[in-house]
Amino acid sequence: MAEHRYLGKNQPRLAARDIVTGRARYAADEKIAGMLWAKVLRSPYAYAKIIDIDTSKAEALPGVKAIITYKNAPHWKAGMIIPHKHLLSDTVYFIGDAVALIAAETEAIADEARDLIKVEYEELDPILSIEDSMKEDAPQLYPEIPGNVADYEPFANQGMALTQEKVGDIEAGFAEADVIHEVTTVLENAQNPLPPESPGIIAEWNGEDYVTVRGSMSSNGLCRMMNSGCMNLPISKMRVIASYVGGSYGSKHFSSNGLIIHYAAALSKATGKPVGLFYDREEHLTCQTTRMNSIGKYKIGMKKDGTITAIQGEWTGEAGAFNGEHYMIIAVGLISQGVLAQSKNVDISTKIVLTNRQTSGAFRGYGYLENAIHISNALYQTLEKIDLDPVEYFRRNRLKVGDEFYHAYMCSGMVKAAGPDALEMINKGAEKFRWDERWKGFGVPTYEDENVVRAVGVGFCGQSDVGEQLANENVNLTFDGGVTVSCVATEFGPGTRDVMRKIAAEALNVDLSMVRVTDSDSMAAPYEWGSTGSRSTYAMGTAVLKACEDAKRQLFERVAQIFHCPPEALETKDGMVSIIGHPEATVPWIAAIGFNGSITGVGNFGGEYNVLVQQVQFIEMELDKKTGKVTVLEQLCSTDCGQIVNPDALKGQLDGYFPGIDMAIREGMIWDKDGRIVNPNMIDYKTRTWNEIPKHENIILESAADGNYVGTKPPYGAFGAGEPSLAPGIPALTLAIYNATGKWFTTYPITPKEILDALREKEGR
Amino acid sequence: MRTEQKEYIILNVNGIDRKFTVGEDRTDVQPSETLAETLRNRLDLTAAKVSCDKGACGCCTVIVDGEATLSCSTLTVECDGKHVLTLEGLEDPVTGELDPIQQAFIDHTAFQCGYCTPGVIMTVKALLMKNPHPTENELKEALAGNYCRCGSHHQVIETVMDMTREEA
Repeated sequence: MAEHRYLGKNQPRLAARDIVTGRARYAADEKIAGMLWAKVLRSPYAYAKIIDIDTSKAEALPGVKAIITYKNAPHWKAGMIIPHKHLLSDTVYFIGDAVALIAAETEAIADEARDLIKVEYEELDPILSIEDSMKEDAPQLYPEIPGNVADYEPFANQGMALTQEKVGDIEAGFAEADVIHEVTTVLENAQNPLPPESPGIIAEWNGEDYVTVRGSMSSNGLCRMMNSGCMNLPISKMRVIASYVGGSYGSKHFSSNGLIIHYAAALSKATGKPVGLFYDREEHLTCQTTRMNSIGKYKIGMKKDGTITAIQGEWTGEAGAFNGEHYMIIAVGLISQGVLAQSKNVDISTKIVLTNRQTSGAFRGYGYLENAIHISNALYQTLEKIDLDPVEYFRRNRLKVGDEFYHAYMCSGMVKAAGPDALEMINKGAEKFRWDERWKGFGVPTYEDENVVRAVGVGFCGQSDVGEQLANENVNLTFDGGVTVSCVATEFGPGTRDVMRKIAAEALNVDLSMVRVTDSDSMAAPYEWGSTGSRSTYAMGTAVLKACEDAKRQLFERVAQIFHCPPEALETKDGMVSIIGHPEATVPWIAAIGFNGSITGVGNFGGEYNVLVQQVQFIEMELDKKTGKVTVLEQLCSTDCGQIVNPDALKGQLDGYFPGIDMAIREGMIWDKDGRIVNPNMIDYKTRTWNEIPKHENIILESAADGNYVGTKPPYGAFGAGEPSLAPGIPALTLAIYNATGKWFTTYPITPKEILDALREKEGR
Repeated sequence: MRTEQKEYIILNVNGIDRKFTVGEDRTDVQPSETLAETLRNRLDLTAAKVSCDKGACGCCTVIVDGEATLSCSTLTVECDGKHVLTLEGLEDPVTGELDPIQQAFIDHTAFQCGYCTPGVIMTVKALLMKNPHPTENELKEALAGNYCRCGSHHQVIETVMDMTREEA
């Protein structure tokens, strides 16, 4: 394994001091002179027509600067593929949909003005479930989306079968099977990503139709690409400056549902002033995005050795009140088939439907978490029929290097797995957890007495988008030996910008303190998506590394002229260049760069979709037989990140596993019969507290430290491992709860009452 | 020039007395104003965050007269004559030296997005002021009201237990 100066070693993370001293400025901490405060009047009905709206009293209130309703709103539309969601319209599509936008001198005045607007509605019958949206007599929500089912033909016409997967001969496959089993799983938690910081945006529209947007945005270029068009602007006329982001987990990458941006921008355009819009927690929980609900029906044909002869699926996702990036969620999610249930015969059809509920969107585990639950539930129940230990199944059926798997997203075809082989992470995890000893078979607890029953479970997941999309970064070497990395990576938790800093410091062999990374400002760095989809370390890191190599090449070419040697004979350390093996022949960078000069290296990366980030989780839980309460006793994550960049930061990413297990047993939005969320606050939306944190361990392998990959090479072998931490927890707990209760649950969250009922049934009571 | 008699309060914030008139004008602290609003909007002390605004997440935690206090659920007028310590007050303003808790959080990367960190550090500070060597359960109980979504719980617990462990 190569010896590195920084990689794999702990140094204080970039921004650490800002964060622990309170200097880190998040959206609501920003101050812009002359800023107005925005508020949004929201619909109390899930589906209704606005008959009359009277803003006269609100407009008369001193300090009110603008009120926008559908009558005077700019003709902006959001939604994909065909834009269909007007900025404001005379129809409201969910409880919390925007009716009017208000800008005022103070927050209190904006609040008061909101209360003075009178609206008369005509209520319409809403669609409040996936099933109802597909009924023949269901209301048609948008003329652009007939039947309430999103149309992805335009992608298919371009050869991108983003939302379906067909390989081999499904009927022949089932004919070969020893067992065939079908399971339908309903995921209607609408789990909220719930970052501690609610979204906040400050928009500044200037007279030239150019908008600057500051605040809590985690993916700079993606946000511009998806939102500039909604405001009838080219990407180049939307500048994004990300503040520190107080958690996103996908919810603040504002891909196609950045309504908060459009609202603030429209008010800024109307007033000519910077406008700040900061959602409160109730708006955050009811009007921003949740995890995509979905129903998955999967049929698996299996041989007695665990080989899957055929897998057939119907997977239907709920976009909610308008359709955005859901095709990408589904496309990425289809990877779960290749990772979990390889087969030569596959037929999975998918659908995205609209309802009158809160819009869903990105959340850590982007589609592959959801589909891993659907597939695992079918898989485990099938494995029970042939009595094969799921860990042994994963060992046998994992994707090996060179195996082909279907990749809907970007490729729409078969991709050869470049690795890593998951065998070692499975084996090391199983050994550390003592799986072979603790697994007693399907439906068998590990321990039971009159009060409690304990059982173990396992879950597995993966995706291959760590190298996704084009990446562009620049690196500037200054004559004083300093390095500036121009990169739109955001400070949002995983330490992505620090990864860029360390890669540059490693490649240019300079002291870490001499490397600076630009703010996430689209005017300070080349265009690219930014931090999203687990791509930062691999895609952005590769471009940073290439930019460093380009800069080093230019530097060495100049120094070669001084020493009359070939550039290959040179090395650099701490702002000096020497002939290798001849320390007496050393010059500082300034000798080559010149006083007041600099060298810019350019790095590009074209995107790769063949490196897998995978994680296996083992869980032991205990059920209280009197209350049905699930207590997770022990939890182990095992993964492979290729090469560790920041040990402590990576550990933190894996330690963030618990929203996964809590999606299985605790978290979710609760709707009343009218489509109103009744738990939009942090007392009633239940999350895990510090005194409920189980015993937890991580195993992090570094299989690519020497970079031995087929046709691809992540920077120093590092491709990250943070995102999948939630996904395996739900199948793992589902299995453990089955082993304890004898009941396969297929709806979530699994409640204590349902568990008690299952225990009673098992005991014949 | 006109004069007006107004009621006022004095809060000692991070060692400095701050005087505020109380009333309904924009320059006055209103009787309904929370300590979080006063700290953030009037004193530019933005480390404490208003996150859930219902006292359920701990992001706004500061220390008032030695007690960990939710500043989003505390009225500023109630703090008249009290000593308020915020995260900004832990750093020595002259030398820049950090509180040992802050330094330990840096040394062990006991944070991710950092949004809950000000509240977490102040909660730990308040605990250690009373109980310099807490058990792990005492620490977890103290932090039970601090919401963290990234999953820094394990690292915070390890960091604080490590720094407070009594030498054998």
